[in-house]
Amino acid sequence: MEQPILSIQNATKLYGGELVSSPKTIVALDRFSLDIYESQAKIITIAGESGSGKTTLANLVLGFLNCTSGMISYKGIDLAKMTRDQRRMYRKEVQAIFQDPYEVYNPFYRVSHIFNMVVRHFKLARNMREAESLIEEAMKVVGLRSEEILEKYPHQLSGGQRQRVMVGRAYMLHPRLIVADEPVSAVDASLRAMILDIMLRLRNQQKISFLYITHDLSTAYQISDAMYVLFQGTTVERGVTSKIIENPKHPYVQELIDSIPVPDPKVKWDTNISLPSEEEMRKKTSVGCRFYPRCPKRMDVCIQAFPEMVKVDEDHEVACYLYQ
Amino acid sequence: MPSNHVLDIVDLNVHYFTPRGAVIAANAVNLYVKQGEIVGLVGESGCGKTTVAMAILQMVQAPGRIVRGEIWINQTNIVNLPERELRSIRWKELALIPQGAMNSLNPVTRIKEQMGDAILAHEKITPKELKTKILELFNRVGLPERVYNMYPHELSGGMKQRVCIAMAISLHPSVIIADEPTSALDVVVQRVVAQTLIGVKNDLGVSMIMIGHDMGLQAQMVDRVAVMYAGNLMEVGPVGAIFERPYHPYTQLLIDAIPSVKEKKALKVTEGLTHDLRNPPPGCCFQFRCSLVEPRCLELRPELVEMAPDHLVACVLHT
Repeated sequence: MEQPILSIQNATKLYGGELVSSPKTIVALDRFSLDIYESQAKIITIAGESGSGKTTLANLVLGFLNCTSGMISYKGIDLAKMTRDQRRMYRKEVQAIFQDPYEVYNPFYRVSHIFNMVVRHFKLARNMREAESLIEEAMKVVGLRSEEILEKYPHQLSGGQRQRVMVGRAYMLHPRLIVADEPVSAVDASLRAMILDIMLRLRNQQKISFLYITHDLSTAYQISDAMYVLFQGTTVERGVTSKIIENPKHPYVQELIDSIPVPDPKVKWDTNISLPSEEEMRKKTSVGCRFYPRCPKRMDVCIQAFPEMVKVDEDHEVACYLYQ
Repeated sequence: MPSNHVLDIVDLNVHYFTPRGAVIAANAVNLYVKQGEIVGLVGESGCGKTTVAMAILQMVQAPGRIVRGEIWINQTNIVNLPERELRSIRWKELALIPQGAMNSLNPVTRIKEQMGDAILAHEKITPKELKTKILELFNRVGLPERVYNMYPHELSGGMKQRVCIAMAISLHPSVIIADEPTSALDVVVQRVVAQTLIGVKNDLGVSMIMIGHDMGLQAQMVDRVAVMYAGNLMEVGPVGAIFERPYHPYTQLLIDAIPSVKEKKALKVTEGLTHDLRNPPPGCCFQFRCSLVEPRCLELRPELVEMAPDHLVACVLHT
């Protein structure tokens, strides 16, 4: 059996509670597991609303945070116990793209600085000419002309160019995995298509896997292979993207899909939705299903213990008592 | 101005004066809003949607300036009205739900104080009446009473957005301008806020301009759509007609770009960049990105032509 390149085993992250000042602990991520294999490059969606723990997961994978319990390992090495050299290798092979293409640049430097820094830090090239051809190639992959871009300052680029430069930078390191944290949430339609198209090409041609973190199920449906839906840190449904979107099982996922505005004025939202107050959501028990206070199909059993994952179809699992 | 119009924008031109020439952010925009309808103003980032909204409120920031045009609200042209008179019109006739409303509340004052400020600036009422009024407003937008004593950081994004909606309707304005009211919210909260806005419109009969780039949300919320590109209106029409039969290639593009959960479709990557807004080309402003471009598009700037009642389009294919 092939060893996964990235393996997340029961990763759990708690916030607060370490100091006297914050008595409440918040479970940001609860026993999350995921394996990514090198042989099949995949785009894996992590979906959920704000506060669902998806950015916490990204930060754990990128090594910005450490797990409270559980383990993340890369090529069999525990992330928390990596040596300096191993960590450098990890930083090279796992790259990130962030939500806001406006804020990741240092406005004082030209765009070329971003590439030069990468080349220097990871010693990618032996001389200037080699470095130039590497940068040239990276720019070509994302559809930009380097002579037009490199000598400009970030504020002279459009939003789409900025985001593409970041993807190009990530590509230059030939990563095995790119963590894309809401890469298209802040951009408009034509730009969105452009970025998603680059992601698809990198998956197909360069065999790069993606962790695509988003709250937008429709773009996930268009490009991703597998999907994990999080709710308040817990995984409520996981499996093949098309199965989940076309046939959602968990009441939360059904609510998410129903809430996507239908682009047809003749089909309006048929029901009014109301969310229980925050207080009610926080007060509820931590043993049962997290979705209980909002669930239209809740049962008594739901607050007794957290539902286990059950298989409803090949490569389609759901954590809900309706299917046990 | 016909009597059922609450807002009439006539030949609005807004330029931003930069050292390297004037950026034409709104070019000869004509648009009206009828009593009790929601008009959607859509287009990509940088197309001038927010500029038009700010021009309506007479709040265009320097170096921008309204170089020509009239904005009629209830039989008054408010362009070049003195600031003192404008102050009495803002909030009372014209309210704004700003872009990123979550960041537009003052973080160091309680919600009751912020809302009280806006109301007391226009109405003389007793503290007791004020409290009743604010609680009534909360009730209307679906906020619990405890929000009254809370600070903005204690509220979630959707609740802050609803506080902004409550503030906007507090003085019964004729027109509310909602600048991407749901853009930073996730899909379930977006639906809650959108339904709150629709509810407010139905209950109070207030008119709205809904700015956004999500055509799916527009389909759910608005009565008429105005599509804007590079400062020009490309197509204006009833929402049903626009989705059923979009005349302009750009409108078609916006509708095709909506990602769907019903069918998998190939991503539509558009080529070409928008022209430099300082030097618009002769001819159609969409020529560099249009898939149906013809030689005559490069020469002639199409005017808005009425194709069907209330459905206007500016494209040489339909003249």
